[in-house]
Amino acid sequence: MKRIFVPGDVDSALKSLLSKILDRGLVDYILCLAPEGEGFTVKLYGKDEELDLTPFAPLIPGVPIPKMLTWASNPKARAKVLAIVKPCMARALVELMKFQQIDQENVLIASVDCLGTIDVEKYRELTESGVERAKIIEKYRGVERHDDYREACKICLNPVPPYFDLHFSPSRDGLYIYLGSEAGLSLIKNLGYKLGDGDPYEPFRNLIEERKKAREQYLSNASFNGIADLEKLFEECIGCHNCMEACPICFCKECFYDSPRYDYITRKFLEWKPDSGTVPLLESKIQFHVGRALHMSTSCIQCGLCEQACPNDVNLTRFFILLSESNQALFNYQAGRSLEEEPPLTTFQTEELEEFVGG
Amino acid sequence: MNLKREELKNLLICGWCGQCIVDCPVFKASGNTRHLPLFKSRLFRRVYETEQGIINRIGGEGSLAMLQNLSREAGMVYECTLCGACTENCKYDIRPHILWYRLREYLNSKGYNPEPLKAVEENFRRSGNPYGLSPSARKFWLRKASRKYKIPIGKAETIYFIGCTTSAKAVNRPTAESLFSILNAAGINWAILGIEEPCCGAPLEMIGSTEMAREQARRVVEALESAGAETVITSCPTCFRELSVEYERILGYKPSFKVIPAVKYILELLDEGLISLEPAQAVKIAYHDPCELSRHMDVVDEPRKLLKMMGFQFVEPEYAGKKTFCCGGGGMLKAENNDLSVKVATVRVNQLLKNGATMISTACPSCKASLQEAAANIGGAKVYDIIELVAERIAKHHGGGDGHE
Repeated sequence: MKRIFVPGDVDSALKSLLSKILDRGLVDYILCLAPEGEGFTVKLYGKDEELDLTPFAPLIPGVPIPKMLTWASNPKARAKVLAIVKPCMARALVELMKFQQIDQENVLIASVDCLGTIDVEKYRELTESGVERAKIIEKYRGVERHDDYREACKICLNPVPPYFDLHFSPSRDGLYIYLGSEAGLSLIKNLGYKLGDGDPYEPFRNLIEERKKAREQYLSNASFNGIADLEKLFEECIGCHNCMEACPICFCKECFYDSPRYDYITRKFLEWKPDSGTVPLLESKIQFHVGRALHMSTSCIQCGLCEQACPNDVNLTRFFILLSESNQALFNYQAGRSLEEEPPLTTFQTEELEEFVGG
Repeated sequence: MNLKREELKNLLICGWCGQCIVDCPVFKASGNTRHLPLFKSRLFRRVYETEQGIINRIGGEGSLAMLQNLSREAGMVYECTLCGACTENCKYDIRPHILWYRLREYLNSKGYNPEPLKAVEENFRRSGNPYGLSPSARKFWLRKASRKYKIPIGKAETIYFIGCTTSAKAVNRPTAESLFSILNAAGINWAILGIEEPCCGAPLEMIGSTEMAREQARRVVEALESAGAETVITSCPTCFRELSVEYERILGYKPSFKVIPAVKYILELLDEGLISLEPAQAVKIAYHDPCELSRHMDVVDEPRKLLKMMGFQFVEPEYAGKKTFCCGGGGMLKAENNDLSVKVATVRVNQLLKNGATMISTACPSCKASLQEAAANIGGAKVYDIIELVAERIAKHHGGGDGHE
């Protein structure tokens, strides 16, 4: 894969490259995680704006970047945006592009090396114990592994995403930028950097092998059998729908589960329940999660942000990873792997999966 | 959208962690997820990004579906008591309840605020207060009360600012009358503004009608300053907060008078020996901290001290002090959805009576009205404002020139 190298410390190398891109009008804006007050937020940077971005900060707080881009009801936003995101969010962007929620022409995907992120609460604990923001970013940016990654990160096989336009890989004396697509290549080629060759996945071979083993272990330890297990899992769910709001690929502008109609139906079901005696009915919250899983499991990028967003710590990561793993395998599909693979939900065939639906 | 830098920062760093929901009284009473503070934060962020933020800048048309439904969602933003329990639990210290004020301001500017609150605004235009209380109704009450109490009207160093909720609601008028008798007993030079007393304007801020609130603030400051007020006593904590803290923010200058809540003032009178108390029977009494007084204005110890001085057997309820639980009467919830407000109050009354208390005391007209309504529904205890309890126990030898029942 083609790559360039920008020498210097990582922050200034990144800034010098990005300001060149903005100055020449190659993109209108850069969208990235940035510090704000004591915390972080998503910021948009135009030409001549101070680039105080922190793409390597080891957390994904509040609204994920892909989700925010779906808020534009017209996916064909006029401005060209370079979104700098974690690898899982890069995969989410790919999924959303396939569902035509984000405009492929106008949004470029830039990912960064990521071994894992920490929970927002963990981050807060660190800052409250007096650790500075810069120190935290520095600590988690390198190739060194840490034990306090989120559950989903501990078994993530994508420290570098399978698809990207640009990929930023920090090294001791500078920053490597890998060019994963034609769009990425044409963005960089006239900026005066020397093009070389390299493999962004190479530094992570060992890590991925280890993670594969951990992942196998994780998957074999977890299973859900029947409604009873689901009832147990969702016992603590308070129905705040924050998992849905934080889910980067759950993109509907209006959700059935948020509508008064859904309220009405489940309440109605429960009213009928004592009389029926024959039809086992799911409680509304299980119906909500299973319904969401039905829509999401084939595109789930297994980021685990649903669990981070849960105020009551329902183990949603396990639920979604288990479901999406088997469902995506069923269709030989992997969320975010490429822009060409068609999402299973859009390729209905009259005769498929006979073992499930019957001949 | 009129956000200060600090407020915008707070909106942007909200991490959607959901800890704000832990003690939300409206959610506890309704179970409806749209009542969660988190819901408002997410909605506000979307509105901001669409109107002025990232979505606006990159030229997307914005989430049309979201904006079209804003008028439907707006009702849920107003189904909140602005009590600040979310602020109490916020891990990011973003002061969510202040953001809800700003969100209401935005919705109001777009005309999305719900019908009942438009009616409240109309009341203000017609009669200068949220209840549509006419000067003649106030005159009728004051004339009747003045047969029992000496009620000076006009100029004085110390002005008792009664407030609309106390003047308009029959359940709260005894509180004002009690304070009349206490002030008379102390023999100080005091007065009220009379039938022309304007509303403090806090309800307008809660509706989101900032301009009208500013106008109202000017009116109040003018009335109080021309009455020569050096000290203003309030028996309503919302008036207290508005007059002593918010006016400086909305007017840009600090009014010349000092504002003091009645509970504090009564303690001062006791300290100076101007009044004294006869002990009460050792009845078990619970004190409900009004959010406006304890959480927002830090007045926690004074009411407790008063209750103990009166000899009550004082019991702390679950949720006390700055960690209080709203009575359901704040944030204009009563106007927007009274049933929901009563539900919240019912939850609170049950908490207050849980530890064996047979009486409930509080220090706010809104709280008293809400709790009384719920307590009556569940056949429970009587609710008193501390001022009433004090007035009943003022030692007779002081006698302020009028009798008290």
